[in-house]
Amino acid sequence: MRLRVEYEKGQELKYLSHLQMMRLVERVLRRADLPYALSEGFNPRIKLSLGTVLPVGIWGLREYFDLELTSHLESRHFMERAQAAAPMGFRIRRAMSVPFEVPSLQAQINTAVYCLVVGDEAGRAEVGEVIQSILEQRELVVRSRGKKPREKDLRPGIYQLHGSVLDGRLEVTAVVASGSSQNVRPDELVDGLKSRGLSYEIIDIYRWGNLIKQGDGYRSPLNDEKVELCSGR
Amino acid sequence: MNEQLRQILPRVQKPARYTGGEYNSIVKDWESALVKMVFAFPDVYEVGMSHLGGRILYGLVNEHPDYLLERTFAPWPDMEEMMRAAGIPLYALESRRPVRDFDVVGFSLQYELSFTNVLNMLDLAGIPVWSEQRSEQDPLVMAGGPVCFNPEPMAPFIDVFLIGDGEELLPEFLARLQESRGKKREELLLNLAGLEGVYVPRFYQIEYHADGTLKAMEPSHPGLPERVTKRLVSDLDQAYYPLNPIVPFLDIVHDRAVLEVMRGCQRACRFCQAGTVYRPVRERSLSTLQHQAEALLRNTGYDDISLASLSTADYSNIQRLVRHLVEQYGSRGVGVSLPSLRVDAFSVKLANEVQKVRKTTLTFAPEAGTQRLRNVINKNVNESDLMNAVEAAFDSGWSGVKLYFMIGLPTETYEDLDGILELLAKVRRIGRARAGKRLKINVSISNFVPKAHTPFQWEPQISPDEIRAKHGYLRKEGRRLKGVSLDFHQPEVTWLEGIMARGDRRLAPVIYRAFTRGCKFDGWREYFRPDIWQEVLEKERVDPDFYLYRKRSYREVFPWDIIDTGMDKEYLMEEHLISRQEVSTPDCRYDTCVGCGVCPSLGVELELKGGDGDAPAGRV
Repeated sequence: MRLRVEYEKGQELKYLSHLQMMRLVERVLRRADLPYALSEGFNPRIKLSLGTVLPVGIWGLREYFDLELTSHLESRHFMERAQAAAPMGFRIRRAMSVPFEVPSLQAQINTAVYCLVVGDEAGRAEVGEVIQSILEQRELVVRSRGKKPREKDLRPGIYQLHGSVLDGRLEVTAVVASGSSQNVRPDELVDGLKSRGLSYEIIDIYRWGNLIKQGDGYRSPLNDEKVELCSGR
Repeated sequence: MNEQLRQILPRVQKPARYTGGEYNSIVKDWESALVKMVFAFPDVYEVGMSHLGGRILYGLVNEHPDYLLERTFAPWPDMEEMMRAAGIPLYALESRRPVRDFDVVGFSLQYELSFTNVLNMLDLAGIPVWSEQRSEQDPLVMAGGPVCFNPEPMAPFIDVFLIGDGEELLPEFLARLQESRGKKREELLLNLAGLEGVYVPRFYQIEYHADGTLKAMEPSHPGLPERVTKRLVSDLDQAYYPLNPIVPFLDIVHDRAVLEVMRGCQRACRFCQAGTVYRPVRERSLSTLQHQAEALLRNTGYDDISLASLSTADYSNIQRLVRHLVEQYGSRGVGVSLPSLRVDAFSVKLANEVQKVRKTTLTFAPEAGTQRLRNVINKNVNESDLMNAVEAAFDSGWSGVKLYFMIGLPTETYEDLDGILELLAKVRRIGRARAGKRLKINVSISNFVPKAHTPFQWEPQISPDEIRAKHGYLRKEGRRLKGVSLDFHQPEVTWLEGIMARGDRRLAPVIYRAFTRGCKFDGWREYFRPDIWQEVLEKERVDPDFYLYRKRSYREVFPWDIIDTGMDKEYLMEEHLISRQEVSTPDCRYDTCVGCGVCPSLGVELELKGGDGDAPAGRV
């Protein structure tokens, strides 16, 4: 069977790279002695695939992986066993069986929601103006942080942008394109906010979630449920 | 400090080196711990976390309800710079408390070229680097590990050395420390010096002859031992072994579960220090290892288990153990690693079992190119052993092997270098016939450093110029061998290793000055500065040639004679003498006792756990 798992990569793990997260998950699965399937060949590996890359330094509330199992296992049992073998900061939120026909996470996920935490609540007015300025204009050109240094227009990839106060902290929430065809990186987003006059420091960034955008609606990669955006954590 | 770290960490390479929180790491209650120790590894996290001794001590001490052991490593220079700029002292990963808040800072000395890192870490911790400058408030600075078998170059920086196996000694040491709480530092150290295996260098007076050689080392207090005897775990099978080791987030150098199948090696290679300091051989039983493997894999989730020892193919139950592990865990994708193979077909047979799960690299170490020189160094391997081994390897589908040689061995001539080239040509011929163009032979050529407590401790060392000449020769002649790639060790590294390996206390000011001039991570090519070392040796008027190139007399008292490994100096002399006659010495586990003195003087016995019918085949 194929299992799709939603997990949190906590603050504690934010410095781990994609590859290190992969290794972490593999070790959790082995410690939990789950019936994982292995690839063939000289170097057998667990048939596991992680969703979109989360940049080093950023933690995530709703991240995903797909896993192939050799026998049936209730999601509930999977979650209990895997959680018991997990390091601090790795929390399994939900798991669901998905048919093999469902495309891979990397093929499905096309949207990310980033939350940029601004140091000071006093920045409310300024943040409001910066957001306003970005939304009003057609372009938001920054230098790409990718491999090729070039000018890049983030604006078409910014679907939503708003500020809010959560637990007494000021946050900018950005719903942006994510994936191979169009991608807005969180560090580019910071550059974009700064280019429009943000003077406050961004003290933390996390990814609220990964989504599948269909028209104007957003769905969860886990169960195709419609997602109401940003109703708290 | 956490706030400052939050700002710094995103700007350094591999921040996970500095965060802690790994699976199986232990954060104990600070207030209730009676003795607080930090294990300090003077190299980067990935190297330090790969070290088995540290894993053993971490589990051992933390199992004790009254003691606490945390970890710290040398920060990489980018991190160090930021820490110094922000005023963050060296801290321990578990509690993130400054290292100077602990009772004991215990350094693990695995390599001579980590000495400047020890000083740098002390400095970063805000602890005076010189032992005599430390006050009552400073932690006790302790060191252990194989390099402590010649502790003298570091003696003025270290308050107390622990010599030999730590499993029994360290808990005794911490208990003595706890009993002595409230005592003045000097009295405390005197108390500790009474424990067997503990060396407190400040209590030993040194006299030199006019020619610079040592005249005597005498204890300055009554009741202190003339020589400090190494400690030893006599029953390894019953000894503590950590079954819940930390699983790092980062890819460390040896990123796998480790089974220590035995400790010690009695092959008696004359260049090898480990052979002396870990003697005699003590094995673990098959059932203990099976049980440990099960627990280790369950508790770590590793997909690879390494069978560690100085010569794993010599473990008397090796075949059964390998078969068991492959059968038991292979179907779950867990492989087995054999770090050191003997040069013979038996070893390849073992590797073949192992590769049913995961393909590994085959490594053989003939060490020298001619039978004559192999006899001199007592590497009891002959050419047909090597040819049988590589033939078996290529027949089994390997398309490459890795070979280790050493140059600069006593009595070596260019004929011996030609011997290396001829061996490589023969291996290549065998490989070509079977692996064709895919053939890849990687050859690592290191430079011999005479080590304390070995039969070659009286030998002069090869100079960097000679090394360069020999490298040049091998490189030039080796170019004809397509598919064979030669890798050479840096001559200047060998030079500095050699100075420290047989050095004495007079080197301490040199190490200090090198540290103040910014030397650190000397074992890393990108940071090693031999020019600065040359300069500070001159400034301190210390002649490196004295340590490197002298042919020492049998009458000479050595600085490391203060440490008693159990091996008789007369035995080493005899081994040295017969090496010149190219006479080999047998392996005492198969032949008769060679009379090295270790077993009777330490009250132990060679401990083999061999079962019937599974004695190691292919005695070489």
